[in-house]
Amino acid sequence: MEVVTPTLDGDVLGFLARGEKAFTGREVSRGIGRSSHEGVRRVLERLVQQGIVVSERAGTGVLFQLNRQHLAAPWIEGLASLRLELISKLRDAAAAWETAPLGLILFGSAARGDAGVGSDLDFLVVRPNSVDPGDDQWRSQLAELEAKATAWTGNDARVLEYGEGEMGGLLGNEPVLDAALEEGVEIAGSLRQLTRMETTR
Amino acid sequence: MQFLDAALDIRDLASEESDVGDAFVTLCAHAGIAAADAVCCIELREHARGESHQEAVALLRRVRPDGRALGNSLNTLLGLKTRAGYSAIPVNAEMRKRSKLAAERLVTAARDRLP
Repeated sequence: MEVVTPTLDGDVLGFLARGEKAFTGREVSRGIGRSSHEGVRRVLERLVQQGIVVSERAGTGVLFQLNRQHLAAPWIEGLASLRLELISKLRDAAAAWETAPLGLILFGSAARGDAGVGSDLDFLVVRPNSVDPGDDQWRSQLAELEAKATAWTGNDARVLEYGEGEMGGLLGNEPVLDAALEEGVEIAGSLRQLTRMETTR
Repeated sequence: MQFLDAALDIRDLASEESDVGDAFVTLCAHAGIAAADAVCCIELREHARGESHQEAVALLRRVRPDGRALGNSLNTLLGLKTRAGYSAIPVNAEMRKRSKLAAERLVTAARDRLP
């Protein structure tokens, strides 16, 4: 959503577009996680006046919902689902690799859904033992992934690469791996399965 | 060239090469970035600005006739720099060797283009 509007209005509309129900103003504030409730309330009132958001009384409070009959609603919903679209495109791209990774995971702010204009797209990839680290095919795949991900989002993509043989020594010693396992979105292979196997060895 | 010299000095002065692996790889990457900028300035009359790795690699790939290979070397260095910067585990001997080769390739390409 930040692609089209870097304002609070964009965050509010994105949150409402992703939700299937109506929300209180405080729920919207918590959901977008970075604004004062007063600011969100003013934005919601303005969006209601503009007709893209509808409100209804519920007891003593007011509930807000995206007006899905509005002509702009499908485009707002599309922009709100950009993260899912990115993940889908990344999975398609990785599925076409001639040399499959043991694991390819998107982690960091893009995986959490809070990436901004200046955020990097962070990938963690595990190269099989059978593939030489300098293998042209392997290196080209990674370079192409970085180039495509950057072109699709405008955010610089960076790949953190490990070899299969390193994995045993990394578990519990590599904070970035722990973070990727906790918050990451699997794009290809299964890093989580790989680490489980290493743990049981 | 100064970055590459500094990388080699640090490696040679260390009691254990592996102790300074991350610094060595990072300096090799800086040598590669500086050499790539020089090649682009000489051949294309422009160089990459800002922080974008991909923009720098894409620009270098436009150089003829060896831009594609040089772009791959720069990409290798940037990947290793990411590894050295993000990971708590020091880079290994293979990574140090690969970063030196890639940096030397880029520095040589820049040097060969100097009048």
